[in-house]
Amino acid sequence: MKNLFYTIALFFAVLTSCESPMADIYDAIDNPVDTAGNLLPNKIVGQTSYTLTEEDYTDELDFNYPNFSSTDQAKELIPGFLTSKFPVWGMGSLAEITYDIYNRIPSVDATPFDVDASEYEPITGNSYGNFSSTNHVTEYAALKYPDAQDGDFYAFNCKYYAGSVSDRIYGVLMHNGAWVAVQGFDADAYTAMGESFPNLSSTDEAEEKLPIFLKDYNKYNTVKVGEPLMYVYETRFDAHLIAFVYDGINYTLYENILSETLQFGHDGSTWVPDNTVKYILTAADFALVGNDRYGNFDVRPGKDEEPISVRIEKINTILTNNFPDLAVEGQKFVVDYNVYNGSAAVYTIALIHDGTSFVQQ
Amino acid sequence: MKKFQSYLSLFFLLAVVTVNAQMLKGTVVDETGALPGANVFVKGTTTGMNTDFDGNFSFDAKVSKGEVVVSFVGYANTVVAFDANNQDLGTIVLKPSSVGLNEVLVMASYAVDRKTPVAVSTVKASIIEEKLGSQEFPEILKATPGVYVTKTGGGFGDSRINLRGFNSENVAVMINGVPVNDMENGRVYWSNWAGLSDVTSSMQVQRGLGAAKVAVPSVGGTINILSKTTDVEKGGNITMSTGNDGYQKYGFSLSTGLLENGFASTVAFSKTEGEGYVDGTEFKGFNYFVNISKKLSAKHKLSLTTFGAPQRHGQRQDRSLISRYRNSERGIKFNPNWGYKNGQVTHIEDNFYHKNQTSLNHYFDISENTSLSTALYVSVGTGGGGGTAGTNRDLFGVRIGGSDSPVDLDNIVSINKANGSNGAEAVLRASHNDHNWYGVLSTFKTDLNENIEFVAGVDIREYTGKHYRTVTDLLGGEYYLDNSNENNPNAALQVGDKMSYNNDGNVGWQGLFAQFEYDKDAISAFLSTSVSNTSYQRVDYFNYLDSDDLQTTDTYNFGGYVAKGGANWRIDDTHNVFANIGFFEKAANFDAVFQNFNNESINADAENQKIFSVEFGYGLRSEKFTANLNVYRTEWQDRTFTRSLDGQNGEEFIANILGVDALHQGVEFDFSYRPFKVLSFTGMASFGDWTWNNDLLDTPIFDAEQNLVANADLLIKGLRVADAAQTTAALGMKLEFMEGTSISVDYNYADNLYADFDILGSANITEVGDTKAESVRPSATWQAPAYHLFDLGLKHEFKLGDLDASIFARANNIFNTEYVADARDGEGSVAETAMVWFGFGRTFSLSAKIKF
Repeated sequence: MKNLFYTIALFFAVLTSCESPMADIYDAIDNPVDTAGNLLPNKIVGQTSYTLTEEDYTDELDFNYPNFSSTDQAKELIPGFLTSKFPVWGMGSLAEITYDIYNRIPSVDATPFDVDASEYEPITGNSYGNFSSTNHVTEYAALKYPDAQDGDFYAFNCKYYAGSVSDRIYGVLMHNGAWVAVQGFDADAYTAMGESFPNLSSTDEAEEKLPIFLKDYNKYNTVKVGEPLMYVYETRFDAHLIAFVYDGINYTLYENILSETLQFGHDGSTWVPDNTVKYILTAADFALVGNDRYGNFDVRPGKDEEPISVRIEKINTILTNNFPDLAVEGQKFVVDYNVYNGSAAVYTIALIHDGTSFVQQ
Repeated sequence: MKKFQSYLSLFFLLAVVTVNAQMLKGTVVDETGALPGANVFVKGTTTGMNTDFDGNFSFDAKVSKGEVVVSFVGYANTVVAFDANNQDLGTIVLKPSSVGLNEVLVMASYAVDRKTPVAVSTVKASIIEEKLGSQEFPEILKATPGVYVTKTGGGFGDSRINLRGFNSENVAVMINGVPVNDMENGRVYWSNWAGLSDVTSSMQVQRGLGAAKVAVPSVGGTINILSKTTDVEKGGNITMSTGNDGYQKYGFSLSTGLLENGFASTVAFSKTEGEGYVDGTEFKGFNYFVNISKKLSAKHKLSLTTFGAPQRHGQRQDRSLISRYRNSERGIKFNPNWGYKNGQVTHIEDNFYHKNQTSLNHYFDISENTSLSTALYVSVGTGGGGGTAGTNRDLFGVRIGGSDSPVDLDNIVSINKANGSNGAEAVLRASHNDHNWYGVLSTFKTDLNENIEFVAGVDIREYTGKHYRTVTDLLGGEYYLDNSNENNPNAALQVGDKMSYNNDGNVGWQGLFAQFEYDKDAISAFLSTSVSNTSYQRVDYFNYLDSDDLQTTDTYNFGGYVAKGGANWRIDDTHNVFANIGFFEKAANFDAVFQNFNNESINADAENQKIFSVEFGYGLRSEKFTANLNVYRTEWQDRTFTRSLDGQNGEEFIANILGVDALHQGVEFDFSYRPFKVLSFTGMASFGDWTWNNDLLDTPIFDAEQNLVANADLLIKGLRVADAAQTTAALGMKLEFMEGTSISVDYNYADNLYADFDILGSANITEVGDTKAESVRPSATWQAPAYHLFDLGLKHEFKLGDLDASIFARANNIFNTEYVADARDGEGSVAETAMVWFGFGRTFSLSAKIKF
């Protein structure tokens, strides 16, 4: 009987010493590592569009004002902000962040002077006695005010050739280290604003009339939405710099705050500015590359799309067709596509444009 | 002379000693003569032996008084009492337990232990009853060497079995001696036989060449299933079972017993249903079995058997990434192939089939030494598998919630409804694979002399497979537009209408076989040969106008043959050794002849596959310990792959890629050991070394006019054969702690399972004139992790009034181990890309049986 007991005990001792077959594979799924073999903190992939709130600037970022001072500063600080805002998101996550930067355009004025006839030739290199491009205007300012600081503003009347020679008034502003030339309005503009003289009476009047006038003034022009637009208007003795923002319908006075949107991606360890577009191939896309019969790529061994090079080539055709503007160097795509590998499945590939085509990242 | 006297005295001395040790002896016979291999045991002990070739037994009973139980498959157990004064039991005559079973044994080429020189494992009905539970029928063989069984997707009847690394196309399955592998593609669909386990009297696996006399594709082996015939005793039983995931089964069996007018009948019926372990695999099945036997005269017996198992079940057709299961709330039960429609579970992939097998057997004892057994059989199969169709099948990827949730079929219904008169853009369909199969199998047996038996016969089959698709659910659409039928273009189809394709495969088979069997003293041997002709014809009702001669093809014939032989030497009562060797050629299957599913690209020169096999075996039979050791080597030579290629001028031709060799060799060991009266062990270990055996370099490929059109390179030498675990082991323990009550633990182990892949995937086929690209040697496919599984069983026999009753409780995979049972290789051959099916977690069943 003792032997019987020992035999049974031995049987169980041998048999119950086995470990779970899937342990290692599950561990790899649950704890992904990056390409360098470092353990990734998590596997949660998120995607969001988010606009920074006033509290985000003042509480999270500890700013005194609810904006960044430059795009570079935003790129530098937003990753840290995202890490604390979305603490569990990991590799492959995308965040489209809208934020404000402080971009001051000063309300300055200057008394216009006339450009002397002798001053044209050193700039234009010819003896016509006029400017014929905006570059001439900024080069003139640079030559005349070599020690100018940001915010310095001057205005002058000059001869300008555009088909024929006419008189123009230009304001020049030293802005972010470069001269910006802004042309003033001509007499017709002031007439359109109901003025009997080619000037406005006051800043208040400018702020009231210009938003109405600009709608008409720009009606055949493409005006960038959301960006500050500088204009120069004259009062009786001075030329004034003023900036507006167009929202697609109306012009409002620029408040020195610029709204920008930038995408950030999580690379496994941190957030980085990222231009990745996530895209899922559609039935029409498969049709475009001759795979409309099943609406997938056949990746079974020996089949057409088994080599990844063939798939990348077809995806190139699709992306270039759908996003002609995005076929530029550095543009990234993460593409999901249907495959048949014996069963239906979805594969994902990350691509980047190398200047000629999209290649695997 | 002196020496001789010494020997003589020694002999007498031994004889005296032997007599003192109470040698129990006798001879076991049946109506026709000695019964070799019958079991003779002292009741309630492990003491006993198998009868020798002359039916004799002689062993030390170790007790002075008791009873011996004599048993043999197909015969009723016989109990004979003995005591100190009655040690010579004389001739014990065994009576058949069933009417007609013995005769079936001849047709079925049943292997006999220590006589037939093949590796064999036999599972009897009692073991099936005890161990199967709610498992798939082939899983009863999972503790057999060389066997790898999985449930594939996990649907009811969706299991598969591989023998020695070969899939079902190369494993012959015979039911009562009638081959049942599909006539067109050679496969075995176990869902056709989902209820067969209820009416199986024994299941024998002959590994390797096997003992089959008819030509069958026994490359990996033969699975020989013997159904019940008709019980000699009057009575019956009722059974009921319950189990995990709503498993319910009820059944009964009734026998009239052998009546005085020579008539006997057995009827069995059962119903099984459940929700399935895997999500969306609900099933319902029935099983019926009727056998009527009539003894016409002393020489003639007739037996009519009909059985079938109609069923319908949801399937998990698609495999998924491991991460998808891992991240699914449903875990390994996740199934992407089902959804909800109108609040009801709807199977996107399902299977429904009813295959009836009816056989009329005639047994004619021509003389004492000569008999003729003939089976006329008809098998009618109807059914198929469901799936998706339409111009926008992406809709079946739209789920109710996350990626692990069921498919939103209501969404498709609303889209199809909105389409209105534009028709449905996504529908459900069924691919039917009906067949009508008629056959006759006749076996003539005669003893040429005392030692040589001659068997010969014919095997004729006619088969028509009907393949077509129908619309099964318009999912809210007004109609489904189909333009596949030349005879009815641009058809607006309704549910039940045929779509996509509609064709017949007509297959004919004519086979002859002959075998000599020698048996004398310690040696038995056989020499067997068969020749066969397979003919194929294709009829296509959709691709060709009814007026087009191309609608029906010519008939194409392909020959095949088998030659095999073997010998067994019974060294003594304990040891025997055997060897067998064989060579055969197997005709290409239907789809290899009719490529691309049309009547024009016909590969009339499809090459035969050639198989060579050699095997050695050793057997040990002792009182407490029996064991078998086999070593085999099977060469699958000149394996043919057919593939269609586009020619340089745009014409399409078929390439026969010849000369791919696979080598399957291995060692198999199995044993049973009963150290104590109440405790027994069984076990096996199987080590396969299955590899692709050669590189193909510059293999020329010719077109029909014998013009060289391409060259093929395939660098696969040494690559492991995939899709079946090359190493398996099992260990079972059974403890009978009181009479009729036992507990058993079964352990199974599988290792070296490589993910499935297409062998031609890396083939570099270069058309003549093109620049040859460098061929790439594929790396080994992903190896799934080895796994260990434990099953637990409990059996209790008791009396319910006057009736014998028993209860079986069974839990499989008791530790709920998660393991990959089926894998298909993915990019980079790593776990992350492999598409897999998991085996089941813990399941249980409880059943009761009452005999009356």
